[in-house]
Order: sequence, then structure tokens, then C-alpha cells
Amino acid sequence: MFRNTRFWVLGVLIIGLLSWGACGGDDASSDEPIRIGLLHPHTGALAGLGVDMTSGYEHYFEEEGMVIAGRPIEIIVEDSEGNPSVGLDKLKKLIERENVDIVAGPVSSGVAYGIADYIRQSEVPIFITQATANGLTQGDRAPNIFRTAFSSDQLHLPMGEYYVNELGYSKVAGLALDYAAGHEHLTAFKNALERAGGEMVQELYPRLGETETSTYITSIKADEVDAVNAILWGATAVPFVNQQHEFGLRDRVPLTSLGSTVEDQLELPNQLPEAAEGIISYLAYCLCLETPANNAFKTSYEAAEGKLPNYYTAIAFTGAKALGEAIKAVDGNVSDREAFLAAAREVTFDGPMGPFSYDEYQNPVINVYVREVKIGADGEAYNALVDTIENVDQFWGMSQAEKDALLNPS
Amino acid sequence: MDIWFTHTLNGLSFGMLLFLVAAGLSLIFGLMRVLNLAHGSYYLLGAYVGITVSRETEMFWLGLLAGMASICVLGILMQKLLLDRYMHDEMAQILVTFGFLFIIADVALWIWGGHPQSIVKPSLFDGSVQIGSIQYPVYKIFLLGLGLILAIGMGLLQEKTRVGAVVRAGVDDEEMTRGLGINVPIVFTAVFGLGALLAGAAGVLGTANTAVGPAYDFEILVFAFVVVIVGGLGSLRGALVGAIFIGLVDSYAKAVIAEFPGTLSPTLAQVTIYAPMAIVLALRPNGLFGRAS
Repeated sequence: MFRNTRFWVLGVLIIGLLSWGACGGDDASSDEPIRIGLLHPHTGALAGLGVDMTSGYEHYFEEEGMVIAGRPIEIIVEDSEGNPSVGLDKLKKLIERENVDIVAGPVSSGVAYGIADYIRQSEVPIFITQATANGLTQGDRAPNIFRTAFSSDQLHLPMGEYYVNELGYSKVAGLALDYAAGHEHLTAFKNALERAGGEMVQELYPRLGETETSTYITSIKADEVDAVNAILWGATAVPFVNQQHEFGLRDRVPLTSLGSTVEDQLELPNQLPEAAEGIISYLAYCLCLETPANNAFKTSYEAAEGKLPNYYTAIAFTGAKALGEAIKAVDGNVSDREAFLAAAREVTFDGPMGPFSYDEYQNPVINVYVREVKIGADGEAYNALVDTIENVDQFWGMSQAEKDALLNPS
Repeated sequence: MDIWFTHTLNGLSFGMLLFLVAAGLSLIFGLMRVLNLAHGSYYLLGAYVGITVSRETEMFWLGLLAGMASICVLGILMQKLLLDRYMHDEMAQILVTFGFLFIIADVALWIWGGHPQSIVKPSLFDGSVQIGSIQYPVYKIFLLGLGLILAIGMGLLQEKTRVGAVVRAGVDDEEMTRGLGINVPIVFTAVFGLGALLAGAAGVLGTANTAVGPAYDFEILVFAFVVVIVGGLGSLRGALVGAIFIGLVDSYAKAVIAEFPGTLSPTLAQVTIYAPMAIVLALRPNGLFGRAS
């Protein structure tokens, strides 16, 4: 009998089935892990962002020993591929088959809009780690939808005034990527500029992923504007800065940008230092911030991963901390959803990106940092802090009418 | 007027890069009837190898050489070990190359990560040069010149040498060529290797001008396909004309759309290269210089 393979196979199967039946079962004891479903792009054009964000997100929980308020934390990662339909499928898998308690992500605004209806209906709490799609904390908002990053408009709202009053740039040529998020960003900057008495003279939209920006650079009406604002990310950011240098754009007009175009550890290492030097940019983070929270984060991340963090790891870490603090506030009892959501709304702390708190629509109130690319003693380019604009929320500077239109679109 | 001259040069230099990629793709199809869907991956992998080698050695030219050599070897291995088995089974060959598209993409993502990266050009090519009344980047002029020289060289090779005659014979009538005692399999492998080498070189040369990242293999493959469809499969002349044509259309379309921001949606720039392709397919289904298969 013991030589019979079939006996052993059956025996192992039966023992396996019995033990599988013995564990599981739905007791909400404090040893039951809290299951967090993380929806990030790990392949495709946004792969770099997604992988970094997952790393930053997991780093927070690893620092906490994978236990929050006595409950173990399980993070189940799914690849959204940056694709709205794939993202929705993977989200359904996380919620319906993996039975996650909380969802975090996504990165792509396309995916965010794609999952909005489903996530609202499912009522599972979601903490959007990066997708800036405006609607999710405005017209499409819901009690279970939080954003721990910022909206597409948000970073640009105070910059209209800043460009006109501080930098002296009233006429601006803008570049952004031709898809949902890109349009939202450039429109927000344009509106902010106009509110401050400036004018967006030209708008150029290279497609998402475009690496040949020569034609767009050539088309910039350098003689008619005071500055260019390049709101770029992904594959377009690195080549744009290098190519504009080749064409001598900055001999004719100053170049400014969103921080993502010239970010530390990401774009800058691939850009010629002289091509980036002097570019003024703005973002919700600066690697250079010398705050206790940022210094601690940089040290701990470098110790764990062997390299400095970047903007994506920082913003994901902040999002994870916002969730972690919410779980602590309810002592790990996330099953009482009403109480958990209420506690989550009250979370506030100082993170690597500065002070964190939510507005009444569950979008963060953050600092916007103005930076300038400088060249260090080692010949490497880095972003140095020039200015800080505090308490920027998703409606900063808007009139009540504008705000109402966004909150209640007809 | 200056601006349009610059737009023209932009289109031509981009077109030359496309020629490098499309020439290999076109010849490989013309000779072996294999549509190599991994051709974009050759560009991607060549670029990444070039990035690593040029960073380690701080020499661009070594990076270029490494990119060319490594992809040539990869191409030859793929052809000899895999595609040769499925000779005349076009479906199988397409599936194999398609599979490699994904394998190479994942391996590249695993080794080099997801963030776009660039190559530092040799300082020889820094800055811009005065051409008439405009300042134009030196590197793009170099790409333009290099592409032209290669096109002429390959044309001469194809028309004036015995090797070229053998390739042309193979494209025209493979059976007859075998019947004449010519070692067709070696010719196949050599052409495949050359096509791969060109794609790898294009990867390094192109990335020095732009950047490379995940999904760029698909992007360049789409451009290459459009060029090859417009120019005609199997024709070197077609690849050159098609590449120049598509490069110019892409540049002019973007420029025109930028001139009329209110009226023309910027998204149109994403589809303008398909319009000539559709027209050519409707009027000359085998492309401008293609031959009926």
C-alpha cells in the first residue's frame, strides 16, 4: 500500500483539503489580516511610476512591521497596466475574489475614471494614491473615495498668481500631454493664469508617450510669450528638456515646468545638466526638503532599498501613512465602515511631502513647492527649494460659482 | 518660412531613423516572407544595451557598437534556432516573433526598470549649427547624413554586388534561386542579422536623440509597419521613400495642427500617419514600390 503512488497522492490531497477547510472561516478576530488591494501599473508606459509607487507604499507598512493596531497587513498587488478596462477587471478581482477590505491606487487617471462607478457602488473604501482625475473628489465624489495625492488642477491653482506676480511671466506658452490628465492640468494652469491677469498665448499637446518633440519646440512662439510651461511626464519629459536645449529654446524664452518634467532621481539623471539648469518647476514635493519627516523617510528608504527615494515613492508613502493612521484611529476595526470612513477623514500628520490633511471632499490640502534646477559640486543637477506655497486645496483661488460648477456638474 | 524649413529637417531626420528600422523589416519580409513582430523589440533592446555600455565605458561609440552587435547576434540566433524550423509556415513565424515581442519587453522591464532613459551623445554632436538662416541641432544633421549614406550604401550593395543580386533573386523567386545552387538559408540568416543590426543601431542612435522606455517597442513597430506598408514590402527603395514620406507627414501634421489650435484637435496628430497609409493601400495595395506576392 505504501508503495502505491496513488495512495500517497490521494493521502496528501485529503490532508491538504482538510487543513484548508480547517483554517479560513470568517471570524473577525484581531489576528485576521487587513487585506489591502493595491492597483498600480507595473507594465506598459507607466511601469516606472507604478513600480516605484508600490515600493513606496509597501515601505510604510514594512517600517511598521506589517502590523497596524495589532492587525497584520496583507498587501495584494494587481497590475492595472495603465489601461482602464484592465484596471477595472483587476479591481473587480481584488474586491470580489480576493475580498480586500480596502483598495489603494490607481496611478492613471484613465483607470480612475474607468473604475469610478464600480467603486462607488461597491462602497469599498479606496485611497487613490496618484490618479489626479479631478472628478473623483468633485462631481464623481463618494463617501468611500479618498485621494491622498492631489487633483489635476491643484498644483497649478496658485501658480497663476505666482507666474504673474513673482516671476513676471504674464504671457505663457503651455505644453501638456494629449489625454485626460494632460488636458486637465493645462486647462487648470490656463485658468489660474487668466484669474491672475495673465494669458495663455499658445497650447501645444504632444501625444502621451511622444519622444520626438522637435516639431513642438519649433512651433513655440518664443517672441510672443514671456515663458514656456512644460507640463510633461512619462517618456516625453526627458527628451523634451534635452531637445529644447539643442534648439537653443532658452536663448529666446525662459522655460518653466511642472516638477515632473525635471524630477530628481527620475528625469534629471537622464537630462544634460546644462539643459536643465535654471528651469523653475513646481510640485507637491522636493527631494531637497530638510524636514524631520523627509529626512527620516530618505534615510529609512535608502537603508531598505539601497537607493534614494523619489517623488513617486514619497507620494505613495504618504498615501500609505494616511491609510495607516486611519486604521490606527479605529484600533484596527475596519469592518465598521462608517466609523472607519469618519476616522479616515480626520487623519492629519507631517509626512515627507509636508503637512497632510483632507478637505471636506476627501482630497488633500498640501504645500506646493517652487524649485529651481541647480548644478551641485559633483556636477549633478538637482532641484533646490525656492519657495513654498502653503494650504493649497483643490479649489484654491476659485470663485464660489466655479467651485459649485465642479462639485455639481449638470 | 524659416519655421517650415526647420519642420522639414525635423521630418527628414526622423524619417532617416524610421528608414533604419523599416529597411530591415522590409527586406526580411521580402526575402523570407516573415513579418518580424519583434523588430520593435530589437530597437528597444539595442537602445538599452547601448545605454548600459555607454554609461559603463563613457563612450557613445562603444555603446552603439554593442547595441548593433548584440541585436545582430540575437537576430541570427532567433532566425537559425526558431524561425528556420517554421520555414514557409507564416502563421507560426508570426506567432513566434509575437511571443518574443512580449518576452523581450518583460526582460527589458526586469533588467532596466520602467523609467524612460536616455543616452549621452558624444560632445562632438552637442549644440546646433547655422544652416542658412536657422540654427539646427548637429545631431539631427548627423542622423540625416548617416541615413542617406546607409541608404545609398545598401542600394549599391543590392544593385551592384553579387551578394545583392543573390538577395534580389531570393526575393523574386526563392525556389529558382535554390535551384541555381545558391545557399539560400545562409542568405536568409545574413539578411535577418543585418536587419536586426540596423534596428539595434537605430535604437541607440534614436535614443541619443530622445529616450527609451517600456512600450516604445510597440510605438516604433507601428511606425515601421506604416512605412513598410506605404513603401512596399521587400523594397529598399520603398523603405526609404516611405520613411521620408512618413517622417515629413508626421512633422508637418503636428506643425499645422499647432498653427490652428482652436480649429484642429491635437489628437489628430496621432492619426495623421495612418491617412497616407490608408490612401496607399486603397490605390496601390502593394505599396509604392512593392511587388505582388
